[in-house]
Amino acid sequence: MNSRSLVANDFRLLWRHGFAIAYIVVAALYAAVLSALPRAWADAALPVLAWSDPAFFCFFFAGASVCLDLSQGTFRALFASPLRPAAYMVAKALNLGLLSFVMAAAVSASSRGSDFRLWPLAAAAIAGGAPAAVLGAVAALRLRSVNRFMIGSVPLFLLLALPAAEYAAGPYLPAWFSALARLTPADGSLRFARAAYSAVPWTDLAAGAASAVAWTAGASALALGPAVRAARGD
Amino acid sequence: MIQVEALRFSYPRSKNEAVSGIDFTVGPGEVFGFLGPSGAGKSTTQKILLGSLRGYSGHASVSGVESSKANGAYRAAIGAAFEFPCFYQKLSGLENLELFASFYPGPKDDPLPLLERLGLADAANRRVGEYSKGMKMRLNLARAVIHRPRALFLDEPTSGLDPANARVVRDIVRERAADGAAVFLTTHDMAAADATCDRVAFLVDGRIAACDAPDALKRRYGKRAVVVDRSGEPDGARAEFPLDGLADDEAFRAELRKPGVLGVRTLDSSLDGIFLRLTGKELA
Repeated sequence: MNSRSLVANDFRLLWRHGFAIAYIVVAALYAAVLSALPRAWADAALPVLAWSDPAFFCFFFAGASVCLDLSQGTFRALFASPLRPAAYMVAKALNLGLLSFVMAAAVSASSRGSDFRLWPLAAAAIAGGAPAAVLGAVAALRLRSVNRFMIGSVPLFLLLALPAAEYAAGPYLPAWFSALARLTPADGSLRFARAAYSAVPWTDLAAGAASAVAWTAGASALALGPAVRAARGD
Repeated sequence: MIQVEALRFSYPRSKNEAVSGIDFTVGPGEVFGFLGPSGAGKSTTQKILLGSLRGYSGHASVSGVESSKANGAYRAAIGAAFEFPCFYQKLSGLENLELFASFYPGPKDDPLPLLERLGLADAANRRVGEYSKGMKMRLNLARAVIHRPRALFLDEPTSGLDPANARVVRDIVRERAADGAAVFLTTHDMAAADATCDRVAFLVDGRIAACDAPDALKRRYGKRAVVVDRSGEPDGARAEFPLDGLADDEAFRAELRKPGVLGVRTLDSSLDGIFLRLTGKELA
């Protein structure tokens, strides 16, 4: 199987289905909102906006993309071929992660010029995009349609959102909430997003990377594999 | 090539078996028709052989590999055309074909001549969303054969096709078999099965009711007799005359001398007729 062709074709599908355009529209909205805020507020909001690109968009767009494969029947044809579910998922996560990174970088540049670091944004895209895309795909495979996915995936969405709540209101929340937020799939991504604009201890970043790897590997092995097998048999 | 032995399968939460102990083999170069009404177990058998359904008992294998252990190499040896063609609607026919072909290792057919053969060359760069059902069905076959599979699974490959395109599809299927592929063809279309298959199996309620070459079945279940059709005469009133000794049959000759003869026809059995006789069910 030609991996480059798989990634290129997946990107072509994201483009033709309007996912890439949606990223551009949201990036423009984010930039407009940031430009309207006082500088201190914009600086505080920027890490969350940069983090939300991989955490939320990869989750929803990976799920919507899988729902499209299910509704068009292409899922069945794809997995009657030698294509491995892992390769299918990596292609989706790579493209969505790349779009998230470009979007986060563009929004950051619109707000701070060149006063931010690119590599933590790239790391945030990977650390958030990979687990979020896997979880989005699992939810879509279990829920089977866009409508059911939009409603049924809300609990997972809230789980992904916990680190943002902790970032925004941590001092006012109970200790157990902060501890719980640190265990969620997108926590690692937020640590890297913060590191794009300010200093974050390397131990925090290492813990974030480990969390993202653990969530991606665990969700792939424990949830994605069984979901693909169940959908194959339908 | 394709081997099924004592295959049984029940869906979760179903009291009845979808497949109840079936046996058959499909050799290289053979076109095997799997015939039966909706719900008979055809699609379940195909899903098992494609490696999509596990949890069966008995054996279902392709090239000696059990389908429950289907991996990339197993699927690379298989080509499948599903009953309802499923493509990316926003990609062109050629883009779809190239995308799916890219998943398979080894030599492949050139997509453009294949599309041309199927009458799709002019539509190759049009989005599949703009294709008619017949065009999608032909593209479906192209996708199934482009990587030159050793085992080919075709579900209603001529459904929705005009006679000329149905013939092209049957020709391609026969050619792939001549090249050594084992073809497993699921259909309701008895005429297509008769014209294409080396052997057919009738599946009813998860069991194979009969399995043989179409001509052998027609001989076995047909009647060696003729009837004389006469204007205004109901079917039941027609006398039958045995083929053996027909030339010397005085009653037959007397029948021919009566006025109003429309024609003489044999009482060969058809696959439709055999199916009705075996199962008492209409094909749907």
